[in-house]
Amino acid sequence: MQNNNWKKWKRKYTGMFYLTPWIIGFLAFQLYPLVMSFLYSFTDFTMLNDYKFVGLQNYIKIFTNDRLFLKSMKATFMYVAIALPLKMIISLFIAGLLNQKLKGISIFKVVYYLPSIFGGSVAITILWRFIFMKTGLLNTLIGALFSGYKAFDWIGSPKTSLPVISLLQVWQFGSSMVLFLAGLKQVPDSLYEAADIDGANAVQKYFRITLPMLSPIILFNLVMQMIQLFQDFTAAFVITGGGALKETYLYGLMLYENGFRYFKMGYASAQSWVLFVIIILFTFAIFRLSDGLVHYED
Amino acid sequence: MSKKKWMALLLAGVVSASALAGCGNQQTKTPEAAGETQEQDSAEGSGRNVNLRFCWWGSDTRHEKTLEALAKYEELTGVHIEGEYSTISSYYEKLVTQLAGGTAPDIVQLDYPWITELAAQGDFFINMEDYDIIDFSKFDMDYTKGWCSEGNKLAALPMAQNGFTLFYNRDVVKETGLAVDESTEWTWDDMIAEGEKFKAANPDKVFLHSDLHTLEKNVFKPYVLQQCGGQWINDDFTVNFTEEQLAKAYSYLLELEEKGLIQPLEETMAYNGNIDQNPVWANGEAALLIRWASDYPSLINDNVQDIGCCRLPVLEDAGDTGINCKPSMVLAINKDSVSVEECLKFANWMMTDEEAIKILGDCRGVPATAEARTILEENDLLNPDLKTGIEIASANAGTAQNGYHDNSEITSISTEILSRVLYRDLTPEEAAQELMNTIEEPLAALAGN
Repeated sequence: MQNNNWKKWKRKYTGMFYLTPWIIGFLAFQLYPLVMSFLYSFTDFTMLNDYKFVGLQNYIKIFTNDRLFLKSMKATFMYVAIALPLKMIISLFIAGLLNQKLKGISIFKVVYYLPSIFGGSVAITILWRFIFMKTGLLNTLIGALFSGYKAFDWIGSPKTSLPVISLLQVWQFGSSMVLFLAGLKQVPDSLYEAADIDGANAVQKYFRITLPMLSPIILFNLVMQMIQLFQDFTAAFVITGGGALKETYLYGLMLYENGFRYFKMGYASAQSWVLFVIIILFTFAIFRLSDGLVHYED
Repeated sequence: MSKKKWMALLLAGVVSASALAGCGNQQTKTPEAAGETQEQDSAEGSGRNVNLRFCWWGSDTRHEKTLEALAKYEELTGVHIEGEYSTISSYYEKLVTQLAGGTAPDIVQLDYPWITELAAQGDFFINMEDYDIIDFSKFDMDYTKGWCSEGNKLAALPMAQNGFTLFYNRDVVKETGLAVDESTEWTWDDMIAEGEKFKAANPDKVFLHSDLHTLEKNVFKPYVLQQCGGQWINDDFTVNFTEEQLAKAYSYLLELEEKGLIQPLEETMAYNGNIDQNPVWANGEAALLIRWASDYPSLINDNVQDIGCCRLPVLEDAGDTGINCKPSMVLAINKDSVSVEECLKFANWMMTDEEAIKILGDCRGVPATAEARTILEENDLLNPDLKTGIEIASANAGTAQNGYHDNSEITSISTEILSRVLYRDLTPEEAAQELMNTIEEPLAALAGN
């Protein structure tokens, strides 16, 4: 009897043992910072001082007396609005191409995934400079195609700096591409065969079979990428430093500057909770809007 | 349970244990524990078994020479010092995080304004004068105390001297006939006049190489200080400058750009903060540059081999030259160090021992002690142009600026507003008003501390 209990207990909890590294990591590096940042958001914590409780003062200041908050919000929304659709469309398109049965297709998969690994490294900053500076690749190319084109610096100009850093994110479409590719492989051939018999053409098959079958993954990617873009920091930090008239002053960069440059950690914590609420609202909105658009098999 | 399962369980245990070890705070040594180490050390008569950490920022040359000095010190004393080095980028952010987490290195290179900034938050560094280890007779104590004290506490030692310098690329000067040498003492208007002649004859060359960061720190601020004199931010958190004075400085910068004497801001934004990497300088196409003298080594490259230094331009009727002279970096000892005494012994060796001075050379600029300067000069280890630059700056030094003058938030605001002037988003008058209004809040916050 006792032996039986032990077996039951073991079956129940063995899995938990395997999860311990993750759970410990989660507690130490996610839950603890989460709770602490919430507490800090009501203090004047600078990382080094004996902080004191300031009530809602940080939150009030964000909405009433922060000259950069709106500017940064605007930049962040623009950034998400440019990068999110482009990234989704490109990753879906490339995943479609990579879904072909061709020799050596895995090489292409690796190549398309590479930008996601390089991310916002210093090397990429230099690459971006060479492409977008006044005497860079892009201007040379446009100049060769259109005579009379007046070259300008894409990174330094307030009108183009945000699209330029958005492209860095778009370029890193690897992870959503992999998910789309996995999704495409799951679509049963029988559906396409049935459509063939009914005389459907390629476009009809794509919009009537492929996209509906992929819709749960599209929703997943949309939500995950949106969250990531709202929090993004690297592109603005390494390429523009938020510059060209603060047009690229992404929310993540503002948080970093307040927290780690001006050491207003309490204030930065409050700002991060505001961002958290914004992300929750958008996620909720996407889920509501997706009702009826997403096709679940079960 | 099969063997495989047990192995997996064991591995999971190891991983979680190491994760735990990773997230634990490195324990701060209690005074008793630190005392034990010291006793042990002195009992053995040497620094064996002592491991210290030393962090600094700088260029590759500085890293190589400092590591060489650390190796030499270990050879001589048995004390192992681990170097933790990087560029200045995010150095301070990292240091503050380490101080907050109790994991900061034992020996720390600082910029002097950080002494004030950190002292406002807590007590992190020892008072050098509490110990009888540093040979203070080798230091100019007025200079040392002037820059490295916080109240009555001597929190650091100056490592080298620094000052604003107008650099000129000798090759470009020779090629274009620009009239500039060591003895040049321009006013800002002279600079524009010379610049216009220069641009007329050499439209493809850049007269004054710049980026936003440099324009704010090395042109805008001195230009304002030359009008108002005194501190940038007073000790009582007020300012001396007026809106008119600010507007005049903004107008001057705008004039430099409109006359083509500096590159348009949008072209230098990609290199902001990395002025030496801009191809205009790297390819030797620019004649002048205003920077700290200690930046000299980073300005030399394959195409720029020969640069000289002269005085920063000064307004004709200036009461103060606004030329900022300061220690280029200072050295502090973490009060939670495993062995404060060993740290001090090393600091003393590094700055006063002839062998150490020779190894380090001018990798931190012109050394702060007269003896070190003599040793380097006698051994031909001191770059004569760098030395000239420091001498000229020191001879023309403006008011010694307090630690608030580099306050990161105020600098950020001032830089942003300057960029709006150069992007034609604000007129000089609007910008002056904007700066006056916007700095009120951070000034009030400083006053509240």
